[in-house]
Amino acid sequence: MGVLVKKVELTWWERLYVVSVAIGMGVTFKHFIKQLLTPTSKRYTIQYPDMKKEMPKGYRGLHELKRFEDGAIKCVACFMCQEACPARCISIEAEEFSELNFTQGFEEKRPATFKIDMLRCIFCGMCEEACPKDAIWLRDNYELAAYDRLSMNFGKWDLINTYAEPDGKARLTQAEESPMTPSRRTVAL
Amino acid sequence: MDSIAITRQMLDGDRMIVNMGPSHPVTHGTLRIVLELEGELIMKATPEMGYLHRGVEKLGENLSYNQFIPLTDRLDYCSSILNNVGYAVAVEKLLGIQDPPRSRVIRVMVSELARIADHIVCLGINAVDIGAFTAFLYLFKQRETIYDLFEMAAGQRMHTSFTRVGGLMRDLPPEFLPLFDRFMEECPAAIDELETLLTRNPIWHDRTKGVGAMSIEDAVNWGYTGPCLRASGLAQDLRVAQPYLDYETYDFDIPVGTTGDVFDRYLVRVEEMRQSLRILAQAKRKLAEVGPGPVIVEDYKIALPPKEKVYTRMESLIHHFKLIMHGIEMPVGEVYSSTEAANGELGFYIVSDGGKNPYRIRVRPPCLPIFSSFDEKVRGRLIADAVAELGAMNVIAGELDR
Repeated sequence: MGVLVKKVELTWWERLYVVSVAIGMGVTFKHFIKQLLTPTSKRYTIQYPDMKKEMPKGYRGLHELKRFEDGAIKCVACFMCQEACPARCISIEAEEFSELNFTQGFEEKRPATFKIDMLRCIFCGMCEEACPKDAIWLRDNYELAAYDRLSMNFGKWDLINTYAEPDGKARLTQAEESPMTPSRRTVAL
Repeated sequence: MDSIAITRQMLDGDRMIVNMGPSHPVTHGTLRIVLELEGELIMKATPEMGYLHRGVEKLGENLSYNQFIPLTDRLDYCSSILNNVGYAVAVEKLLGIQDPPRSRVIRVMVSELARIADHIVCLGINAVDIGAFTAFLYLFKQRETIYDLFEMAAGQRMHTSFTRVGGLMRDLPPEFLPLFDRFMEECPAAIDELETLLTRNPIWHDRTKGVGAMSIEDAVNWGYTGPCLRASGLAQDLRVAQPYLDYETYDFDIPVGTTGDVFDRYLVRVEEMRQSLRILAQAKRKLAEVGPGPVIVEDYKIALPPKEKVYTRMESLIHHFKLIMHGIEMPVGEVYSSTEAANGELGFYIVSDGGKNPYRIRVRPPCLPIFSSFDEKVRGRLIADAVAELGAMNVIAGELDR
């Protein structure tokens, strides 16, 4: 671990402005020519919105509330995400329900309301980390805009339907459709 | 030094008052400087801070130890991972634990990437402020690649929140290293290009040499740290002086300047970028040596258990609930831990009363002491010199006002 003493003194010919201007223009022209010969699709600049950047796996964008294959919401209203949220933007109200087909008459818990205020949300991903049921994901949509504040207040149905395609990203810690993913089990009577 | 800027009514004589900021292209962030001018000479400069005050320290008292990490992103937002790392190191020091070796290497890697990104912003914008626009354009491509790397690793470009108490949020994805290799090839060429454009340019010399020069004694007395202190000639670097994250095992040099003016700070920052690249090359080798492994401590009273276990095992589910609802069991005590951020010494002073939330968090921002000496540095100089000086101080308002 040494110490480098940095010192630069100009020589007399560098003091003549012409030389450094020529060197500088050389660099600029090199880039200019290089850019001119590169087709638009290969240039570094992404011409948004005509071109869009592909988000990497694990990008923390707009949330989605996941559902089981039969359409039932995975969330069990355990309030973990609400507790873990540093921005305090999640508010949940729980309800109990029982249905003969799905729960065989047993009482189960689910969210009656599940609201995320996207104007408060900082997309830190702590809700996803806190969820013990794999019910909330942060996915790749980053284009969030609205005309008024109210429409940025996402409710349960908004959050379930934020993405048209079923899966945006594979879970980072596990393969898709692995036996580890929580699946719905009917209780045998 | 008066803390309140003089108003027009209080003023007698011919001095003119000019507000630089709160929104001015040269004040990166919102900070206001009230200049008293005679002609074009600055007679007095009164910095006013607090326009970007968000009460981070107070907010920290109502958030758990892990929940504070997103707030550290917003301190020095040009190199947010360095703040994440600094905070995580502080909490780990309080807990008396060490993160796994793989996590330590990854932390060094992302820290040095963030340091390069921060220096690119500082140098590029400083050059733009002075009038050299070209250097900024070609350098920013490299910064973009760094941000792509962060996006892969942490999931977001700027507000990374990459670390957790006891390790990292997640491991590096497989596509990280190929892009990293490309960056390692391209970045030295971009730095060379920057040096071609600026280092031996007489216009750059005229604008920066002698501006804001400061002796070592003055710099130490003002509380300077980081590149600004090293530019004065003192080889002080916390990575060497009190190594953390195994920095003592990396081989790098400390660049120092001679006078502490804007030009020396430029030279020091450029050389630091090169040294960071050296560290990155060593870190990559080290990462291969360490091999795959956990990136967060396997103590479920500190870090969340892996999701596979949470979904399937009762014990892990209980730990998971307990950790999120009741937080980490912290020892009662206090700790001050400082790390070398891009601007200088970033310190976290944490007082714990054993509860879920810290009792008090104090952040020592590196640019506050540097910014306090602004008046002394620009007094008697031209407005254009103040612009150069402000850029070279690398004042980030988010960190200054907290």
